[in-house]
Amino acid sequence: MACVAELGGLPSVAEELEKLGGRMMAVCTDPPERSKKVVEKRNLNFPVLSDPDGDTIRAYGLLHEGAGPEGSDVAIPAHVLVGQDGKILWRRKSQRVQDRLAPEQIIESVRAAIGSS
Amino acid sequence: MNHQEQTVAPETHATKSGPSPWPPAIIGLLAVIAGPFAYTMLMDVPWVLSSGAPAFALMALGVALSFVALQRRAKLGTILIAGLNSLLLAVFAIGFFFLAALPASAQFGGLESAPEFSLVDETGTEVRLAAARADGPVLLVFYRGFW
Repeated sequence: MACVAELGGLPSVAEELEKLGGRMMAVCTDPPERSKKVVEKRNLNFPVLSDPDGDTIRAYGLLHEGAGPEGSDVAIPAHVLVGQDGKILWRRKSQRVQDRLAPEQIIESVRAAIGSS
Repeated sequence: MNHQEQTVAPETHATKSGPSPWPPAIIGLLAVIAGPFAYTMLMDVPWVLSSGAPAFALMALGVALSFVALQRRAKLGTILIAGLNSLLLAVFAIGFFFLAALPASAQFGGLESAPEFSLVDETGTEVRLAAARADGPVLLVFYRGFW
């Protein structure tokens, strides 16, 4: 519950990002079937990518091993803005489980990062 | 004799009456219990989720009230409630700040370029970062999943 609380406010971020010529994608270790339910239930307007082995999440240094249900691995909540050349324009990682940015703060940071790149 | 009674009487009077400790004690206990409930109910609000402010405010108010009660009359009940309230606030704070701490990641902070990937989305469609970012900036939102 708390884990997806954040996703609820994100459609506005996705919309804003589209206006800026970009797009948004969520990444988690859930299988696609579970993400599909979340997307439908929460009316998400962005794709939720599935990384069940956590390989991609690990490559970003964001795998929290054993922190999920039954000792499974989950991603540490974080935002990464990737530029067209693949460079990271902005990043932000949660310090605590409940530590999340408000959609307006994300939009503000993304705008600033895209504007200065 | 008469004189002695008169000096003793006001003292017992003062301890027995005066404002009752129970309203602040009971309201204080309820406020402390309501704190975490208010938190779980308001979790969808980002600043509530991040700061825990409503829970801490309610719980601090509850602890303060229970100490008002304790000051009015230090009885077993008021002592227990003040102790319990303090304990609940401490447990919540420890859970909030320490147990929920996420590991630091030097690797994440040190990344210059975004590691490439190819993953399937919720519809089974393959998504490649290289292809997606070619059209414009991509915001990746890592989250803990639905559980």
